[in-house]
Amino acid sequence: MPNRLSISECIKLLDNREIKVTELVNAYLREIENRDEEINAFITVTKDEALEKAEELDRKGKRISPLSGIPGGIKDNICTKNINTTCASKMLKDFVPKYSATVYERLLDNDFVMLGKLNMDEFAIGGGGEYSYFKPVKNPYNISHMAGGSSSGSAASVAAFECAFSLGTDTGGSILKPSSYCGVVGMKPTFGTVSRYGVVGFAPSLEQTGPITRTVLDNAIVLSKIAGHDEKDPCSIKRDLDFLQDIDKGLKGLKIAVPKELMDMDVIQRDVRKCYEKSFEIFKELGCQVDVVSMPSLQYSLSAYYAISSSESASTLARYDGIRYGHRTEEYSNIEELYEKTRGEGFGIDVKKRILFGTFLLVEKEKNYLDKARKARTILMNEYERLFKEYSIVLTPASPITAPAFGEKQSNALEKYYEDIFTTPINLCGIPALSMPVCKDSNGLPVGIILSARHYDEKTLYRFGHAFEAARGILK
Amino acid sequence: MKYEAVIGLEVHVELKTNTKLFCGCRNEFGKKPNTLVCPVCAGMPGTLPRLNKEAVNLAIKAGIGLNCKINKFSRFDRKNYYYPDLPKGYQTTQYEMPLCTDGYIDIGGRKIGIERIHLEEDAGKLIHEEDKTFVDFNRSGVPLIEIVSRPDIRSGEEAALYLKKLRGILLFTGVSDCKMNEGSMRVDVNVSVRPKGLSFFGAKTEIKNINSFQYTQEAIGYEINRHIELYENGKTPENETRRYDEKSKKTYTMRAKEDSSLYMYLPDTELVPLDISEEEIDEIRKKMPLLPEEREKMYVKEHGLSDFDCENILQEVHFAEYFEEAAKLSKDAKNSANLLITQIFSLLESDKVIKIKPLRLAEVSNLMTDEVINSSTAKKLLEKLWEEDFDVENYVKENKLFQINEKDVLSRYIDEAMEENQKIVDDYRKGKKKALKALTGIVMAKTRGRANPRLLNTLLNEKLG
Repeated sequence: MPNRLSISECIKLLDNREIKVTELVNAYLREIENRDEEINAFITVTKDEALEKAEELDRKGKRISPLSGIPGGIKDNICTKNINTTCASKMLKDFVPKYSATVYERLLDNDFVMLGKLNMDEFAIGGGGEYSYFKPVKNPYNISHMAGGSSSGSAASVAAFECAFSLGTDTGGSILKPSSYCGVVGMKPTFGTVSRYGVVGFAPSLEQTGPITRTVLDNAIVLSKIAGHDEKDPCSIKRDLDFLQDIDKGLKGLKIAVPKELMDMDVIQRDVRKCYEKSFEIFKELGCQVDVVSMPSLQYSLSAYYAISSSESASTLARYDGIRYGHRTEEYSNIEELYEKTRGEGFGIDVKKRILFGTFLLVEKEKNYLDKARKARTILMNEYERLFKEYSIVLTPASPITAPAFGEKQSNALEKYYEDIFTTPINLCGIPALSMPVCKDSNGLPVGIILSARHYDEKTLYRFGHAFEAARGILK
Repeated sequence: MKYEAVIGLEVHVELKTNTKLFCGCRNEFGKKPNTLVCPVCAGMPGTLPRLNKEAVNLAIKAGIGLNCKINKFSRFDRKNYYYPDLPKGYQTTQYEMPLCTDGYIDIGGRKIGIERIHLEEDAGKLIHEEDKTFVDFNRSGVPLIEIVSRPDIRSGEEAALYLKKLRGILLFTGVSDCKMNEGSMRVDVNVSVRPKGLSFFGAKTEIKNINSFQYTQEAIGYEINRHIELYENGKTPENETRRYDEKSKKTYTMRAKEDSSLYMYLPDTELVPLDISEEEIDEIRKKMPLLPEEREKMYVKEHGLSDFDCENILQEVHFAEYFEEAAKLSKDAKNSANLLITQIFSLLESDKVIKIKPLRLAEVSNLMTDEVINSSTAKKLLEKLWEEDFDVENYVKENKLFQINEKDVLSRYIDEAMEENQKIVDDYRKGKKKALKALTGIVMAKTRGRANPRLLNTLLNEKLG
């Protein structure tokens, strides 16, 4: 079954003409057909276009890029010209953009094969994958559990062998967390590395698009093709894009920081802690030094993240007003009613909560919540900067828990927010991070870790990840 | 009790850029609705703004022209409100850290402070037709600057003077075309009144979107009196937004004043903060054109023009450029200015285009200076030149339009006229001084307008004794 192969294995076969693109694409389409009714990873499958492209590539024969002929899926908040881009929301359920996101154009330029658009939490807000207007995404390891979010379909589709790779977006862990829940490799690149143009976000100061794959090497291959300066995104930066240069160098003598504050948290499940500690042993065997360090300002990251992301979302999502595109309410007698009903009907509960909270923060000026959040952000950045002078990476669990089951009682919203404790500092500081699996918990669900590094140092993350993956062996 | 008015102006001006502030759409007025629109200025999902450097440079120019401090670091913020012509649900503007601060305009001895100039985008426009409303996004994203004065203005007259000066500076720096009828210059006024000599602020009313300088002056005058009357009757004006009705010359309540916190300002993190170097600012400073005030000084000093001349010529940039071009070629620039103002300006149509080459004005003016032609010939020549271009000297030669400067030739015309109009001569001699004018006219007509007017006057007086 060629859809079980990694991208790097596929590249070899395709280069040697041992497999046709059509065979590869058909294997993925079959998997989608067999499996996705259960997983719900896809919102739109572009089957005809995928087959057409595969045939064209087989006819052409020439491979212009490592990604040529590799089938991938795109999160449904990334604009794809002439293909529905719904953000998994009723608001945009029939929206077909007339333009493409730069990341998608880059993939097309590399002759990838588009399989379709991936399910997600509505407008990338939410962490479980259950807040899609269409259907909840289920964890391929156990379909009574969530896939994690917001890039739930992106992680689940790769884990279920429905895609060779996918693109997700990450605002507060939306690539890293579902990757860990689904046992795949997810990268949140340095802010400004991948163009945001055409990606429908909600908190622009935190967002990045990144690849989700089954191996670390695959991930570096995809990132190399989607990263790079884009003049359509004012925050896009010109930087070194060789992510593979250090991947085989090994880890001897490198130092890893483990934040004491996170280790001490009692919200961390026992199995998660066990796997996390097991990762220390693997890294030590690879020749690393693992030190426990103190990062006192990590305690501010959740509050700062929710203040900043919510306030930005209240403004960024204002454009969905029913005037130019998207959902518009049937009956209204004046403009205020048009707005109220359109937005009331078009947005789901989690999006509304975020907008309401953000609006509250922006109106309550005297309390200075946002100024405090911005200050916390700066303090946190300084703390990371200090650590990265001495350490190559910071290592944390990906989430305090493994994928929760659907319908599992969550006593309050705050508890749910705690799932993002390890990911939010990464977005606040704009640093790159890699999420990858270590082992499985007693229920057979994957447990992941997050490696984060200084700005622009994805190559070190891939170096660590690649060595770790080989030492860890097949996920048990 | 004596009262004092405290007035501040907020002026919005559209920048004369080729393209919009955050996308590549052309910045033009009067095009078919929704033909200058792209995904960015229509606020489509996932699109991002891309700052137009040309707009930043024009805003800096305005700042320099208005004696402002140009802030090397400034930032864009979002002003959030819902309106169908506002595609993103917020206006991208500069709230906390504007590009320019602390400037002033000198309105003839008194400096009116300018608090800030910030860069922002315009909204689209609603078009109401019968029971339907349409939105035109051609104007959405057009670059604007808002110029906020300090509350230093004390009367409607001062406000009009401030606006005139402001318009002149923006026109001559090429920042904006300042056409109030096309909405590229829009004025909001804040008025309050307090007992003279005290320093607190009274209740403030805002009058929005006044569309001429004269109406601004009138509206302020009305508003000051309204406030005083209320105070005199023991009442206080409401803090509110009003509009000026040009027909009744009164202001009317529009709505209560909004609280700025309702706009939920926050930094626009889709854009990076503006970081402008000293070198960039110097570069723009070096290329600054002469401002109206500097030009006025030059006109007075070098060409002997009057205040009246300057005011007329400095109404429009192309008038000033036209005059300067003609002045360079003129033997007597003051005479050219006179011809420009009295003759040529009276020929202008609504587009204000001068259809005579500056060279021709200079040629006509020079022939007058050399006493080759007189002013009535000059007038005829300019009217003719308005229709078609020709070499003035040749034309004068061919049509024998030379001024009659010869005493004996002119005497003959006068004698003839006096003989034929004995009654007028008698009237004059009986003391009817107006008859002189009639005779002058008759002689002029006989000479096809070519008589040297000074000589004619002298000779007529001699002959009539």
